[in-house]
Amino acid sequence: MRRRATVLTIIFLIMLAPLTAYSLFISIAAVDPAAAKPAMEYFLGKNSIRFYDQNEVRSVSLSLSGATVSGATVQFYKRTAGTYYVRTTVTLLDAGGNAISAGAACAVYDGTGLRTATVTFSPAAPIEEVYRVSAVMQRVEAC
Amino acid sequence: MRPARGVFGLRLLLPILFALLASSAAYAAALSMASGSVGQLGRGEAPVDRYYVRLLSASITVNNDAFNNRITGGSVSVASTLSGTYVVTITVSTSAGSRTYTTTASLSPTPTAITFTLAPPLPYTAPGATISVRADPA
Repeated sequence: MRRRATVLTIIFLIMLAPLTAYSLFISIAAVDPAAAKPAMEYFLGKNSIRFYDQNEVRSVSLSLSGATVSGATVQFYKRTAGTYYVRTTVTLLDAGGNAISAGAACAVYDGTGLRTATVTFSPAAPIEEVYRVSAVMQRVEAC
Repeated sequence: MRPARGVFGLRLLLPILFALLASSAAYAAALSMASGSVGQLGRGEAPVDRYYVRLLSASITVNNDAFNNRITGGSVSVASTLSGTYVVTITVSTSAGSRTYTTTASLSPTPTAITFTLAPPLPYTAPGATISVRADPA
């Protein structure tokens, strides 16, 4: 009888042990959201050709149509005086560094100070695929 | 009277044993029913929300307009497809080095403007500056 009671006690304890696992409470709400795209970056170009092109980008702003990037506004500081053409190019790159869209604008500017260029992307790109925005400018002889 | 102790032991243990079995079976059944609506349990597909960070604009402020100027700070307009509180890390880097600014912000699909300062100011050198914005759940 004593042996049987011992066996039953052991069985009881063996059965009790897995039940402790049920006491663990795992809250799904406590799980942090997963990052599909946790970061984005912008490159603001600056030129360094003395007496010819030392202009620099100060800001870039994307225009969205829903979840699609349709254009960008670039503000740059025109440091090199004179009246000349400036081509502004904005490129949208994906996670692998590949260009998925680009837009360019070319206009004549004079004097010095903050200037603005507006570009339209072709084709328009989904914002979720854009990881890097590169805005550069270049003084050109003609548009 | 001595043999009665073993009998009492059995009479005591067996109901407990059956109660445990029954409760365990009931719990297992309830868990399997619940797991049908929670994809994370044993199906290899987690229903965890996923978010995309959208950096809609970036601008820098400089200490002066000379060619050898320095970036003193700036502002970014950032949004997340999933509303919540995030630790936002802004890193500005040029060929002269990099600076990092960290803050906590509530992000949502509506863009939020975050103004940052760099200490010490970072030389704005050619060929340009990279502004990287990263958001992690707080």
